[in-house]
Amino acid sequence: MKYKKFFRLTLWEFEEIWRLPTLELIIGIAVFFGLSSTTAPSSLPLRQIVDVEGNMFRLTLFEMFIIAVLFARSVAGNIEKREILNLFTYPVKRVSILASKFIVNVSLIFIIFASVIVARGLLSQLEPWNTLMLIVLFILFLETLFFSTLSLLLSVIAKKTWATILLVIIFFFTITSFMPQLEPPLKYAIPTYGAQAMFSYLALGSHDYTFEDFTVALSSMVIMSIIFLLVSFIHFKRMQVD
Amino acid sequence: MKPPLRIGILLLALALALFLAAFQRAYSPVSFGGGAGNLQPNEWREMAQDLLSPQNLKISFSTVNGTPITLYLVNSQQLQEWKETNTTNPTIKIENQSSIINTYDIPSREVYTILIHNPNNKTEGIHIDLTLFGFEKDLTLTTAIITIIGIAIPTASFISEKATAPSHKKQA
Repeated sequence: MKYKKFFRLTLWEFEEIWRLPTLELIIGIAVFFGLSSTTAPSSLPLRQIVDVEGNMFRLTLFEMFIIAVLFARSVAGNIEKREILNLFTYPVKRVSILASKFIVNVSLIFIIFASVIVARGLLSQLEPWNTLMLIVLFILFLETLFFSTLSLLLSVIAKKTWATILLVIIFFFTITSFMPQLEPPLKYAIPTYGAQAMFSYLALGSHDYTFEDFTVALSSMVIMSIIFLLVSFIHFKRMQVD
Repeated sequence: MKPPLRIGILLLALALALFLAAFQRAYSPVSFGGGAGNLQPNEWREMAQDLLSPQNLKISFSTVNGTPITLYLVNSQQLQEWKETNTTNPTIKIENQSSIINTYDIPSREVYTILIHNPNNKTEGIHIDLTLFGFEKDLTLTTAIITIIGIAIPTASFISEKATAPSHKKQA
């Protein structure tokens, strides 16, 4: 019964995204920017995966923006328009409402962007189950999780659609502009640099990155995501809707 | 909006994005090349292996001393055949040329090897430039298939609805 209600909540959230033209825009942006660039051909898997990974970093900016818009629309927009009050009348815990929104949006974004990365890999003759491809997909998952939890947190705090989008962009550009001045391994606590460090260490076996750098990159992304998620849920539970 | 129509619109949006990506790739030529020196008389040499996409391939090469040589572009199967029997039916065959600029068709996306042969009785060198351009056949085919499915799903649903709906005349 409990799961049935939760399933209904996720279905409502999906129906909201299913409306024109949200999915079309996400798929269009992901496919065009993910597949349009060309690189010099090579038969070496390592060079091919560098092409796939380079493309993933190109996609990160678009992915971050799409995540910010989706969460701003789904969470902050619902609070702003007071539509969330209708959901509060549904006999479920507030946590379930936020969890359903989070799960649907994260899954959708990850499935779309991972499909584009896999398609890019197939163009370079790299199968999806290739270890190098799995590493790239794992990093993509961590990045998606980090940006989603950040957007979720800012959505429940700002409670306004445009304010959330702006805050995510400002936050991202602030950390990518000021934090690179830090010395490694602290520098790799920033998701973009962290993703680069993780890929170079795991896939390329680069000697420029140590195990410490890799650990800092991985743990900072996971820990920050968990903290953002917990704070979002606690804040949402106690939140007053004006 | 009915689900078949919605799925159709989604597939057409995907096809449009794929077409734009394919268009961008088609008009962003990729050039690469290399050289081989000191080719001994009657020597066969394997040059670089590259993963080529099914596009147009412009091959431009010239020999250092101006004597004609033979160039084959072979896929992995043809390369294996050549290694075992010393004969093969290559994808691209350029025989007894000292210089050439020509465009060829790459049939499928796979790893190809350039084989060069110096049939002369003196050493020779070669410089070769390759350019890939044009629409990729597999990407274009995928786009076309998605477009057809995107049109077929709502059309089929519309036709089946029309066929199963009771006519007003009969009801009257």
